[in-house]
Amino acid sequence: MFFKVNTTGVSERKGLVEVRYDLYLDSTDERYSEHYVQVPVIPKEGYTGKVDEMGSPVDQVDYDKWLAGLKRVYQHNPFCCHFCQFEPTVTDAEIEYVGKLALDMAYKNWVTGKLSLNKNEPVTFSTNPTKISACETRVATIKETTWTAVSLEKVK
Amino acid sequence: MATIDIGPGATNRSSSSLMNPRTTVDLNNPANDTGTLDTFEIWAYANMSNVKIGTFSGSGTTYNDRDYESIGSVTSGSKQTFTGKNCDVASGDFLGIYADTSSRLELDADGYSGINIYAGDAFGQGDISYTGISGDAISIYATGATVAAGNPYYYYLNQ
Repeated sequence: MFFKVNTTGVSERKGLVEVRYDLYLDSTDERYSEHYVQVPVIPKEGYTGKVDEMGSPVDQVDYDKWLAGLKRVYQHNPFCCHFCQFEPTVTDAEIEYVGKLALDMAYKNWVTGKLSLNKNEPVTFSTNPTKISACETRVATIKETTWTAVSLEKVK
Repeated sequence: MATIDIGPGATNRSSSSLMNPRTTVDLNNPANDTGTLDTFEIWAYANMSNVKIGTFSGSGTTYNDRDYESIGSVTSGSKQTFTGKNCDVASGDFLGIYADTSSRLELDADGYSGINIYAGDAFGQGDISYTGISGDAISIYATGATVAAGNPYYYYLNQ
């Protein structure tokens, strides 16, 4: 198993830096196939048949036929995306270290089918504008960083 | 501490909903208690971007978000679980979601309590008027717990 920092989910949150870790299974891990899935390759124009106000197809049979005709590819999805909150002084090394802890915790809960048991260390939220600004600055540098996948073995 | 749940469930449904972009408030399974949500589940039909998810109070066609969480991107094809969040919820609240253009959520169009839609990002905007659609349910769900005063965050990362 391994994790990657997903910068689309990194943000300032209640006066802290919130980091998103995407946690992935290896092929030898428990229930790997649940998140190594085939998905249709949806063309940019999407379904061109008649749709309702929700963008949902009006003719379900026609839609199912269109969907069945699309090319399918395998996609490796995270088994969990875990968020942790940090002070704005957090270093890249600390972010990576906590990612290992999160992966270890989440995998144990994945095996027992209880991802909702994933919990974090205590944090103190803040509405201080100076601290929020510092968090926003740190968030920007995290988003600019090139994060690579980290396996549990690599961090140990 | 009691368990809270909200939303119809993140499952593989029979149809899909296009976010144009759009905020959707789902009327199925309102929150059963007051506290904090820390786990969210989403099943996307097509990859989603700039996703926000949160709690809404209101009735009829007018709703206001109580709190929300930024998720980022959501991949399609399997139930995606997001943990470590901290979102306020009150008994009777509804779960809602926003995503950018071309994002698609799993949806059932019959047999449910319905949804309300707004063309845009309603989070942080106060009272918003929505268009109601009866019978629908989208694939979102969240759980959390009631929290005693003075203990805002329950934790044990290293356990």
